[in-house]
Amino acid sequence: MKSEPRSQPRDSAYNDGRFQGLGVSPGVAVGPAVMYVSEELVAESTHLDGSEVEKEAAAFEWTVRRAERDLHKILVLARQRRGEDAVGILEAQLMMLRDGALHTEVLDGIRRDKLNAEAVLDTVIRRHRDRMLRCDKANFPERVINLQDILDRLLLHLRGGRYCGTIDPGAVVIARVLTAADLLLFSRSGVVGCSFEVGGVTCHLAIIARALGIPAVLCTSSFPAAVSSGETVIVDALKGIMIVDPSENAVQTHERQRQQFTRSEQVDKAHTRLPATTVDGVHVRLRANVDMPNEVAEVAAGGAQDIGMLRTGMLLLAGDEPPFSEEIQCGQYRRVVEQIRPEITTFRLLDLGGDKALSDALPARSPLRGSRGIRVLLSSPRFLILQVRALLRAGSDGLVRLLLPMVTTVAELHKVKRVIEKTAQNLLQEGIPHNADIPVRVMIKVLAAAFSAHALVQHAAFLVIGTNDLTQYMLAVDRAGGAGRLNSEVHPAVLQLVKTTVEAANHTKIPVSVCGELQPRRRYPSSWDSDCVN
Amino acid sequence: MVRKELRVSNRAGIHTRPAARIVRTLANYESEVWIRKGSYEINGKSIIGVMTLAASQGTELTVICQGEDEEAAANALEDLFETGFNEI
Repeated sequence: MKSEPRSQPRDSAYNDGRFQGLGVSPGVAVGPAVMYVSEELVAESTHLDGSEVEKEAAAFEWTVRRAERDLHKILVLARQRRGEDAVGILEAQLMMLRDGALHTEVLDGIRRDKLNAEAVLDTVIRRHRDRMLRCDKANFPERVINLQDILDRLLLHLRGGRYCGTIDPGAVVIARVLTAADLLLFSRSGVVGCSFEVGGVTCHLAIIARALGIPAVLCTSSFPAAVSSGETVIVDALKGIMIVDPSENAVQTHERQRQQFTRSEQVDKAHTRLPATTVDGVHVRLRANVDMPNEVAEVAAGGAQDIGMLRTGMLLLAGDEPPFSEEIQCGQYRRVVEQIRPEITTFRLLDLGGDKALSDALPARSPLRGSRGIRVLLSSPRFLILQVRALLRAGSDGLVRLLLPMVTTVAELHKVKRVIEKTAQNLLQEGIPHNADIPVRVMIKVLAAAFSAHALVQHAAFLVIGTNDLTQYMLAVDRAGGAGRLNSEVHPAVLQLVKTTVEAANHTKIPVSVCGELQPRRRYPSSWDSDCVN
Repeated sequence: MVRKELRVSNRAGIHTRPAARIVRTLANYESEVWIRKGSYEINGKSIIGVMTLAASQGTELTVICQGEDEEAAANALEDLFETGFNEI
């Protein structure tokens, strides 16, 4: 541990390397920091002496082998976590790394032009990329991205840097921006905690961190500049602080807290075996939210009876590429349905947009108020039809429900229902086994939907209240924004709106449930139980 | 030398994954393979080459195989194109 005084103040509130933030995924972690920066790499060009040429060629070949080994490790992790269908792209990337024609081009270039590998590689990859862009840009964006990824990977290795897949177990990841896919990968490398700067309690990353059990602190000050890789850091997500270069005393205290927290988590897990009943005797049906196929087996272990919401986005993310083929989707869905049978599986149609960017092929990164959920799907019917076809087919193997995200008007609900009817007719004509009669559930995320719940219930089989989005729209707080502390689902206005929705559902006697981070909170007003949401 | 005219039949065209399938299939054969689109020709065993074809649905390609197992390699490729790389 370093003892010299710091030249720059780290944070306004503390002087001992503490950063006040917000815990977004509970737990405590102590470990060496790994700074993760996803920045654009720029190749630099150097002329070589005659004697250096062969050395550079050998260095390139060695780099390629190392990058291959690295990517292969990631591929194995992805296969374990997400199954065989998900690794198609990684396999293709591995083949690109092993492409003999590429190696020859680069080696020839090093020898002919007496240039360093980095510069030659950059020129070669750029040439291929330009050709792809010239030919048919609109239809093949993912090829260009994959090629760029290979270039970045090799550049990093040429410089002796490490790609994100090789983080050591026990490390704490510090990043300004972190994506859910990054964290997924880190979790398999045994990362014990993370701290990031852009996001909120209910941003997608925080949800994934909680699902993976990785303690996470959201720091609003520009902390990454003050940390360097290898320094010991403490991420205390229970208090919402991060400590850089802590005292021996602080390390011991937090190590104890970490062990305590792990023990209490184990007790919580034992409690999940008990029936979910409130003190006044109302039985609450617990449904699990699922992102990854391998979580399905954990559903029963977690005490839930069925899958209340399977977010199909994560199932199709990373590794796969658009257009998501009907066969791959159908296979994925079918596997889940078969495991959950005879209970119900509710598949939420793709909810893209907002902070959930999935790929370049679908509009994403748009404002949270703009193109999201069913709006995106209705404007790109190709994806909607593909997904509905796959789900109707999977519906012939067990109990399936569809959940529509971001419904705002009754008209949208009608439109989706028409697509479902039409798709079922087509499947019938094609003689493909399917279930044409799959109940449609509506997710209440938009205020307008909550206020028109009385109209929506006439056409929906079930209402699901998405409190994360409802809260951010209600309180004007961006779930990926900086005002994390304000983003509270227990604001009386939010609860009032939940009540309105529940009353509309009770009036028509259709079931209603709550989905969101409101549920796992340890404290919520006692008024909650009496609302009879189950 | 065997020469075949093949047509891309899958909806998405030869994007990354079908390109990987083509290269993986051809890796089982000793023959050299070239794929032509118009006047542009690439090595069929180079995934980056196949990706630069930018062959969308309906594109006509010429495949040329040369070597001891040229017949088998060309047939394997034909099968792959006919089944739309298993993703029609």
